[in-house]
Amino acid sequence: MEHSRHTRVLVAKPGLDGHDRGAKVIVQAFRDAGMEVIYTGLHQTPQQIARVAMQEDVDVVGLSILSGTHVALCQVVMDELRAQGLGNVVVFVGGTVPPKDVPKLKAIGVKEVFGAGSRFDDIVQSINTHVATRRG
Amino acid sequence: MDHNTTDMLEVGIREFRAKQERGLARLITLVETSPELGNSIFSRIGESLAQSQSQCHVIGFTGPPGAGKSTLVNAVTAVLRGEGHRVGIIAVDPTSPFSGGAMLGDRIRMERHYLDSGVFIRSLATRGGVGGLSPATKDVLKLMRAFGFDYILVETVGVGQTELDVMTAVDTVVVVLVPEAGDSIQTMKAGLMEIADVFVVNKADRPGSEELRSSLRVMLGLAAKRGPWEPLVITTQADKDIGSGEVLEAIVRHAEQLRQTGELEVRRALREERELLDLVSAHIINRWKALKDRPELAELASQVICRRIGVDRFLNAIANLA
Amino acid sequence: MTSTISNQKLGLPEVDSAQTNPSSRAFLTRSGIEVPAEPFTAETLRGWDSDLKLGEPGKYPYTRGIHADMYRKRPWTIRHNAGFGSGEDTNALFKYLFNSGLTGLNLAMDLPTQMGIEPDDPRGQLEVGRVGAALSTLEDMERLYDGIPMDQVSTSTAHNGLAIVFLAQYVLAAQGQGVPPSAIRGTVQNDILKEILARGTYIFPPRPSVRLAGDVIEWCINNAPKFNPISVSACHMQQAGATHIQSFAYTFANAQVYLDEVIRRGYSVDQVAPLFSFLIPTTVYFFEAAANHRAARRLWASILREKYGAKDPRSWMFRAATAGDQTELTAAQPLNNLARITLHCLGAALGGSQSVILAAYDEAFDLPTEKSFRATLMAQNIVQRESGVADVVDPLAGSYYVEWLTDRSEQEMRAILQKIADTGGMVKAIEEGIVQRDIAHHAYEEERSIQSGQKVRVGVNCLVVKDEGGGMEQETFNFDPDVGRRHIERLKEIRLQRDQDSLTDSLKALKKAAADESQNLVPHVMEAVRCMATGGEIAGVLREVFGTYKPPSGV
Repeated sequence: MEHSRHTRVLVAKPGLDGHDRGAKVIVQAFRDAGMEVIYTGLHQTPQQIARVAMQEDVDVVGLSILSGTHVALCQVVMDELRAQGLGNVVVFVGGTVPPKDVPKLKAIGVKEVFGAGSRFDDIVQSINTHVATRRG
Repeated sequence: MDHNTTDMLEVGIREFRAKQERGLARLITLVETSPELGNSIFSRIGESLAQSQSQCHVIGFTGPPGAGKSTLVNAVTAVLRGEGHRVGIIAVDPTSPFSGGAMLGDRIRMERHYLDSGVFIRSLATRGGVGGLSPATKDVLKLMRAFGFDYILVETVGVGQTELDVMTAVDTVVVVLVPEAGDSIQTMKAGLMEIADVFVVNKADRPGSEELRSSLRVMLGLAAKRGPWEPLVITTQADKDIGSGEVLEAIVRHAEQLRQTGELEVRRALREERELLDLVSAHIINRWKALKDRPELAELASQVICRRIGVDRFLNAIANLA
Repeated sequence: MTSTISNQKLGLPEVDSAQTNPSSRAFLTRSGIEVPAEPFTAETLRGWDSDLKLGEPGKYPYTRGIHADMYRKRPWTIRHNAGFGSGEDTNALFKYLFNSGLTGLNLAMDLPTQMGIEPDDPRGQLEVGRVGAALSTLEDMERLYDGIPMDQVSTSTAHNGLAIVFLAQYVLAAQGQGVPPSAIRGTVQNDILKEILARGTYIFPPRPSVRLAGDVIEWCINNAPKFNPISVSACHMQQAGATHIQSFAYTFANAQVYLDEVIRRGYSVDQVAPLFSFLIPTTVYFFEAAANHRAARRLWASILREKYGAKDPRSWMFRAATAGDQTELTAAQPLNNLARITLHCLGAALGGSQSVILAAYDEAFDLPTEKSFRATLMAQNIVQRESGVADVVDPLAGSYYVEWLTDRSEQEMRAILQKIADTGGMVKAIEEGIVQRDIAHHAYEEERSIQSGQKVRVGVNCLVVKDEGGGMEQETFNFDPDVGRRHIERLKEIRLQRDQDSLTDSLKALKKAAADESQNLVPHVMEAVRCMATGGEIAGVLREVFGTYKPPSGV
């Protein structure tokens, strides 16, 4: 019998920056790609994000950050995710990230960084690949 | 069952038995994935399920979109937490019929409970369910009951037409309306009126709330009753936590009366019967889907449709086909 | 002469799909108005009455501009958009600007300050001093203006949720220099509805937020007549995804909420309306930028005269600063953005803006560097001083196309305003999430039309250069991570030095006044600020009374 496990994604806005165009756009793109998407809304703390990710048992956490605090914030979010036993959740980042920071983000466990102008198809495909690897 | 799923099942059950929320979260994913996985899980955690049956009260919140269901769930949860109860919340949002994806946004209004270890919130997509809940909601409810919550609050999809499923899934039905509904209440689908145990007129600071309250009372006087209970009408401003205590009082009164009159047993028996029928029909449908390309069945099927043979012969046939 | 540089050498594809297949492109303006293929002719404007639609420059309905001579006598103000670091960093920048003869200062504040969150709150710690100055207490404001005579500068700031705290700090800092409120000049954005709709820096629910905005406006009417207490902003709504036209219509709806709030308190429209200014977006689609601005002037004048019965021409005038649409800038091939910035400026100039702020070419991925910041400033100067666009008043007047577009734009703005009125007004439409949803849906549609190639973005969906290295070699702005720690340490000292009794009393009095809707809270906030209350403490007290805003579910 055929049953599919839907890909569940949490799109989160950590920190105080209120620009959520990108977050809301990607939420709609994920929905249209057949994913189940939970959007946290603005101004979330890393602890909140990690607990929501745990309760919703998501495969993917997408962080949208435009305030320039991405490296520091992602570090805290990754720590909190690990504290919830979610160390192997696929984490990606979108927003205004200077190219020089991409290696730093990957070093702390972020799987992919999608800046302005990234194509939905590429993002979705990349997530599917990572989720498939995670599920083994 | 693939390797990864088996792992997840084992880990999930271990964590669940240790009362870790992570385990509950994992098992919910599995029962959502397939009813068979649900069987494997429930056969192993059945003991906690049996214990929990009587203690946990399940409340459904339904009503049109924009009525403030999530906000009310949020406010009632705060009252329950104030009394020390542990709360599970299920928030259902629609699956897009085009993509199969879904946007699960209700919990955004329940943010103040995110860090509270006594509250567990899970968002579900309808995944083909048409009655305001998802097909797996009842299994998720079972898991949550077994996990030991004192109250479980279920928020249905707010799309309007057929959220009557909630009646067969919960103990108390709260129908949430806003004053603007006053004009259309006469033509409102009768179903919603008949399933309510508690009516909430939310956003009661807006014009028209008094009118809605009185027209609800008039309609309740005329409506057919489900039992001895007289549905209550409560006004709230859930975003300001006004009236949420009264809503909970009404729910508790309803729960008490359900127990005293034996109505609770009647409802739960109805629920079990419905669940049984759902399981049986799901089984038959799945069996049919798996076998429908067999030429011998096609012939049999057309004979059933023409009423030349009885359904029992047909069922026998699909049960016995290897 | 033919070019000797081949496409290959430039890294460009030899065949570009968007060029070979123009049918995939839609002929739409930035707001999605379909542009017909047939040439515009006199027939397009048949029945169009220039006396009614245009009038004279500087006269009702101001379609041609709010001044008769426009830029001939008054070139638009070239505004900078920089602000970062601590109070000292900003003070140094301000001193530098002031000593170079610039008296218009743009004050950016960090997010904890804008949100009323203490700098040492875990939610705010990482963001102290990052996107602007950290102004927790009166002392921070005094330090910021140390050595800068506050009667000689004009300060603009995008403070909204706690504009009331900014006003109190600014007025008290000025008084400390011996400058009375009647002499302070500047603008505070104070437009909370668009924060709720678009920019996300909100604190309280819409209704108490509007009351706070009204308190600031009312206090300035009576005490600080040279200070602009509100700048209603369309820019952020467009950046969040509204169409250019929607962003104007929502802005007019918001502006009327504030106007009504103050008129309700017993002021005449002519006491209030002249204090309103606007911040509007310009776009690469410069014809539409100009047309929408012209339509907006005509519509605002008509709303004020016809609907509100304003008699004073200053009430009719739509005074606007224009900002470039950052969402049109691309992270790919960042230098291309200089061309877009130039077109932004052209749109603003042709529309008749009073001042112009443009983004820097690298803003799609970082805060601007000195180099990118200067390039933008020079681009603006080239448009203003070299192109001749500033030499003629409303040079597009009478163009078949632009007048057609201006009329269409006004009709659409009116239709949106009507729709909002039909749903029960703007505050209700915001509470229900109707406008937020429209904005989010349009953002998604727009992104999809770029990805499908329907909407062309050079360097993104056509003429894509493959081996660009993602701009890896770009220099980017470096933030001093120590700024936050220093600020927090100083704040801790201030907390110890304060007179606790008077502080507690002032916050109690504020709370009591907040619960009484008939009270203007500015004097109470001022008293708390004088007692060295932080913005976070003041917001905390107000949160207890007003609650916090939570957006509607879903997208």
